[in-house]
Amino acid sequence: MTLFFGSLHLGLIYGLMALGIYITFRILDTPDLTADGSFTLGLAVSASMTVLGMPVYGILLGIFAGAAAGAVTGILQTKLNIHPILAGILTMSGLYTVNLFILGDRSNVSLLGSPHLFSMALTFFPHLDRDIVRLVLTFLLCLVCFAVLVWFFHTHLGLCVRATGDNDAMVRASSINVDAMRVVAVALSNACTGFSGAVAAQYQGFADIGAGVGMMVVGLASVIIGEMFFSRRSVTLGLLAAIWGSILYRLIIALALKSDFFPAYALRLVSALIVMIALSLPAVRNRLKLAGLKREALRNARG
Amino acid sequence: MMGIMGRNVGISVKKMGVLFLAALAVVFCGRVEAAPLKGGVYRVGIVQLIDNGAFADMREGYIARMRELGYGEDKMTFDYKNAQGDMSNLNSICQKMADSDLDAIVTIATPPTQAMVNLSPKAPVFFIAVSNPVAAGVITKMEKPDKNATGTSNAIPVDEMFRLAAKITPNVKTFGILYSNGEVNAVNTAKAAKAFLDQTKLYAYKEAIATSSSEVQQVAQSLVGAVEAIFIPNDSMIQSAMPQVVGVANEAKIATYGSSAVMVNSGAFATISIDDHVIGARTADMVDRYLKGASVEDIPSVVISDFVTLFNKTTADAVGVEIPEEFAKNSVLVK
Repeated sequence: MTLFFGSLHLGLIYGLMALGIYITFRILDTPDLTADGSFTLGLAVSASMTVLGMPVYGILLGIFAGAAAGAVTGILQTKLNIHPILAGILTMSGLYTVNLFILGDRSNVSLLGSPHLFSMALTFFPHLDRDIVRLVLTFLLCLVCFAVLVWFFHTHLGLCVRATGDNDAMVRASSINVDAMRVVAVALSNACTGFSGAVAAQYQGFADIGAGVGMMVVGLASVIIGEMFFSRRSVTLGLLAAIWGSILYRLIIALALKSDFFPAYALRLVSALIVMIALSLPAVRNRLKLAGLKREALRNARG
Repeated sequence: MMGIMGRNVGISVKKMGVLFLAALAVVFCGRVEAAPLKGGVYRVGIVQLIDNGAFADMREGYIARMRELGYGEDKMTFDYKNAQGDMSNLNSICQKMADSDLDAIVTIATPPTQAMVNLSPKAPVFFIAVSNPVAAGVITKMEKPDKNATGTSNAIPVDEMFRLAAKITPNVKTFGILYSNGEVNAVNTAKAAKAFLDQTKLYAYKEAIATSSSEVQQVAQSLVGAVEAIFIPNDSMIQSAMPQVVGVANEAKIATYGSSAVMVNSGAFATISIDDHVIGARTADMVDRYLKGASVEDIPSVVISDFVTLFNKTTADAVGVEIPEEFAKNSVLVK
């Protein structure tokens, strides 16, 4: 059952990042590739603080650092007019050095043996199963992040951010500072990603400079998979879908690992194929429906 | 009409979701517990983070040694998984291993070992090639494993390497140390090299760091004119880009000292290193001791010291170095 619980843990932890990706990808409607860097940033900050004996501050500072990284990308996008994709890549690659600096010029920091969020939670509830404690903790963290975001997107500021994503020109005309809204959104997005990295470091017991590679893809896949199950009508449902998608993505990977049909070197292809199938289901379903309608129309015409 | 269709779509998506979840539930819960050992077949998990030549050699060396020790295909099966560079998948793989009813888990290099030890699985963890197990946190004291994990360290003999260089390429004044700062084993070895040179003043040195494989060539070129020899720690990124490094170095008549046989095979001038197959095999010996009844605490972690000296003849000719007779006799020449 470790794999099943583990997949839920990882799904919730990376779900924090999926929330962030959802903000830029869907709400702001601007691609942001900072994630690979800001994930590792959160991871690095959290690990360094944990080694110093301050795991909780590690998480908080990780969120803050992620937001700062996002703000940099946002400013590059708006004030310096750098293309959003390039702005994200620039911040991401710059962060590589920043992350190494934060880790103390080491590419790998071990937290095995240092008390962290998960081991602390375990000492509070010594009679509970470790997997359950971890599940409750990751669930609570995810719930808090989700609730804060839902609250935020219903405040005046949040509504302005959403409006900016929907119709830039109209918002500009109504004298709202569009650039500021964009910076806020990208910062918020990367705060979530930094949060995700910060929790991941303490969960897996080490921080490695290579941990962020491919995170962006995982986040995007999670958001899109999640949307298969929820309508895109409200922000609340959208954010919920992002977390759900992340959990599902992890379960899919776990499934791929569990089956022993394919050789070890095929993992990437297999996981890509499974995600591809999941993503193509709506299209396939529409085709089938269309074919059904055609048949019916044909029958009606004959009858 | 559209409204109804829309609702239908919604429902069928949910239905599909429910079906999918049901399928997942069956897969995860269907097998309640892994079957007990059938006819004394040991099951060993092998976790690797990324594909590269050195790790593949270590894995093969491990498996080959197990077979040699009498654990044939009828006695031991391997569940080998590779995260292909994705750290989040590495966690899933380790969870999968912790879940399966394995007799031992073998991890290759530092991150998989850390991820595995962090899960504290029931089966003991035997690592291959963790350059500094104490710093990696997978063991508190090399002599007395305390976290149900033991294995081999591949600390490269940097002192031997520079002493070899002093004998074979005596005109060298400055060494370039070329590595990527993203790999913990490489950084550890580079640190050891710098510490040795700082202490002995044997050579001056200049560091050159690449952060991605596309930078390797230019970083190597930046050393031309400033150094007379290059040392490359155990670094899978530089190792993969070895032909580029050698191309630059040979043209400038700079001797490249590598840290693995793989590097010398792809053109580095020389190395004193541990055969990657041997590191794997030493870990296999530890697994054998455990399966024969020794407890993990009684199997100390060891720094492997079976060194081989390797030269690449083609490169030696290209950089104009004559390999002395005494070395040529006791070492391996490739190409």
